[in-house]
Amino acid sequence: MSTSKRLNSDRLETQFKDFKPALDRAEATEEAQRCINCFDAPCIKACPTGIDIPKFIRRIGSNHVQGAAKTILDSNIFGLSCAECCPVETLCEGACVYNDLNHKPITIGKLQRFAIETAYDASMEFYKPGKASGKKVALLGAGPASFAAAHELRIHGHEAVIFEKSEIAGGLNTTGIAPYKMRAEVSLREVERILKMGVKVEYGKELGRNVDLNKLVQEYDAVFLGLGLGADSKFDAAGADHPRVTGAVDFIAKMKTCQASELAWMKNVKTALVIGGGNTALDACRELKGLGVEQVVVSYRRGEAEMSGYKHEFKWARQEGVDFWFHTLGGCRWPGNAYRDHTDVERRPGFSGDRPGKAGVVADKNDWFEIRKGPPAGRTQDGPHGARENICRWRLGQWRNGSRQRSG
Amino acid sequence: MADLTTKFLGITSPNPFWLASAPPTNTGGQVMRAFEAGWGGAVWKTLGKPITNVSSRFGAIDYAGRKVAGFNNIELITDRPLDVNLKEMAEAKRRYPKHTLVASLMVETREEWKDIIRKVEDVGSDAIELNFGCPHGMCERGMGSAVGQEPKLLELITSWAKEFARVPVIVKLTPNITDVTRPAQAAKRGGADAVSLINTIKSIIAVDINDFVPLPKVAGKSTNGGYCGPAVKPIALHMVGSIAKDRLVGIPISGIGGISDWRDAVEFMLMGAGNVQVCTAVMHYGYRIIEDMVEGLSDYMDAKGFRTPMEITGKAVPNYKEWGELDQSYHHVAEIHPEACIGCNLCVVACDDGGHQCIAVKPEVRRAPIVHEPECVGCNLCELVCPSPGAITMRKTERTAHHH
Repeated sequence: MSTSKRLNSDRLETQFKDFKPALDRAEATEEAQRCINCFDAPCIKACPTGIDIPKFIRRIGSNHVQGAAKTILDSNIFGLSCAECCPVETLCEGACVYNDLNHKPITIGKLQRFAIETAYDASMEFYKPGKASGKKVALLGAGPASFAAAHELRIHGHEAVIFEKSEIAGGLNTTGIAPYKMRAEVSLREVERILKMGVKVEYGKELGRNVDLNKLVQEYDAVFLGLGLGADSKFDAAGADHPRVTGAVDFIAKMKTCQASELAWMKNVKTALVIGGGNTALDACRELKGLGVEQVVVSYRRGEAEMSGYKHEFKWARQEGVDFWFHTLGGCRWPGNAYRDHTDVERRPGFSGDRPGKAGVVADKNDWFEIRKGPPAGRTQDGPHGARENICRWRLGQWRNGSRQRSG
Repeated sequence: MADLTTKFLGITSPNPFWLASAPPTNTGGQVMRAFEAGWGGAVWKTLGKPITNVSSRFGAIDYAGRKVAGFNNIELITDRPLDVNLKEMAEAKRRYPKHTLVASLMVETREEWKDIIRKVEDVGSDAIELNFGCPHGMCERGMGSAVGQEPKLLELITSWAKEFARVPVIVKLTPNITDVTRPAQAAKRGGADAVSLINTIKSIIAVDINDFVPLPKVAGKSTNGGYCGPAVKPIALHMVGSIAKDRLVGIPISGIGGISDWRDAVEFMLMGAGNVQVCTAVMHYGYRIIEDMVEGLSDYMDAKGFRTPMEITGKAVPNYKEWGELDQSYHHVAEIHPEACIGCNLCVVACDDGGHQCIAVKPEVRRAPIVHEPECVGCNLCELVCPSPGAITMRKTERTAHHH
């Protein structure tokens, strides 16, 4: 069967509005006509999928949206997802020559979204399966890599069968994009179009559990490994297995695909700590703000300049009221022990045990939380338990009631 | 603030900006509001035998996101009774005596000209303008551009008007002719005190590609209209200039054609216009644009040391030459200034495909292509397409043997 699990209509992500609203036709035309159509354009070079950006923008400007969409999809069959979630500020739009004129760069992402949405809304079709070649390919993992590969295989007439361990298609495109950037249905919309090319998906099939690679190699002409990055890394610190500590990937996936009731405990969360300084941390802190968490703090072990998260996302997070504590070793201390060898521990109001039930970080009134300002003298690499590197990888700090099950 | 008082044909206006005969001068209420806003004069919507207008009447070209770069109309002369117009003209002149009121006229027979000229003079018109320019509808009835395209007929009717009129007579010319100096000369021979130009250019503004009907549509059909607005300004500037330098004409010119702001107006005056008339920009933005035109002209005059607008008239005419009179030994080449270049490479592709293949991307750097000077003919296409102010300029140089 090829139909992905349906999304729950009451899932939490539906609370989020588009951070970058769609353009209407008049806005898109005007913006497209503003593009100066660079020759050998820097935006194309900045696009990881090499979309001929001036070419598709010119087609929007001439009211030839069909050609615009085709131009995009020829380079990137996930043109809609990418339009909504690409960090255009550092890619195509960051490379726009208008930046050098101190003009606002062309909103390439929004124009791309306009082109594809308009084409899809009008049910335009762009590709047909090729003449059957008699060859078949197995693809492991139903994420964007496998779907993009399967689409290409179908164009050439090869059979394409995807094996997916979960019940939902689209991989991180469906389960991992911050909802104010893109909702899961956008991903499924693109997946559906690829499925219509005759791509088959076998759900509940996991490599090593009920899928044998040796057997696939024998049965298929080729095997494509589209396995993705996997689950959240483990947080090797005291308190990490507390029920209201969760990993970002798991948290976002629940918000995007599950019934709101699965995250019902979030309703009472007033404060939250996000550990890490990368883009997932920046997504997570803005998601928490979007869900109504009053105080959201990002704790990052190094300084602002060292943060790997995008500068523009950092700016927006600040604007949305997220607090950033730099040079702090984010971590939870559950009664008694962790980080006791840190010297300059500071108790933060709102994250301390004197506000039982109010602070998201606190499970009960005996729990408390510490943020250490700056590394202790003489320590540069490892904290207690060798935890600092792990902390960096553990990007979302979130506390939940109920199940103590770790994400994975 | 410079003194913008302008004398044209002995008529004094507060400034050189008149409203052209068109929808903005259709009624007394409009004209009085325009005077109130600051317009120096108004040429009333053309009077003649009553007609019926159709709907719709207008079409426009939008270009690169800007509305109404070019404008087209199939509206005829006034569709209001003559006595109503006359009554309102009298009122406008009575209430705004310092502002110039010109009657635009279009009738057929000698008797009709005699009759209507007397009537408009009686209500206080400062001048009359003979509409020999309208290229749609009226010309099918032997009037408008049908007269403007026949110099002999134009001369005859002009002489009738001069015979009957006590106020100055302006002949409004059509651009729908091979050489506009011919009808201008005919106007002069007929005794005209001035010419005004251009009237609109015969046009079809667009075609609906879905139902195959040109625009504007009237019950599923269309007809050619008259084209005006910013797009026609270069055509009008040429025609004004060619009449200004024609010794066989030698009468004042009222400049018309796509004038939207004070700078456009200055350009027309430099090319020989004694004053200017405006329509499309007012139809787009309203009478209020006069404020900027007045202030802008005043500041320009102060900066340039002009004491009256009349001093501007014709200043550029001596510099408008025949091609054969140009200095063929002069040479300049493109110079790209890396500090201002944004690296769009539009100059590269323009020079490659539309120029003389002398600009190349410098492979090792993103910015600032290089000009191969010996190949540069100085066409300045690159300068024109460059979006970054000052990134490409033309530098005077010696012409090398290569260019001969």
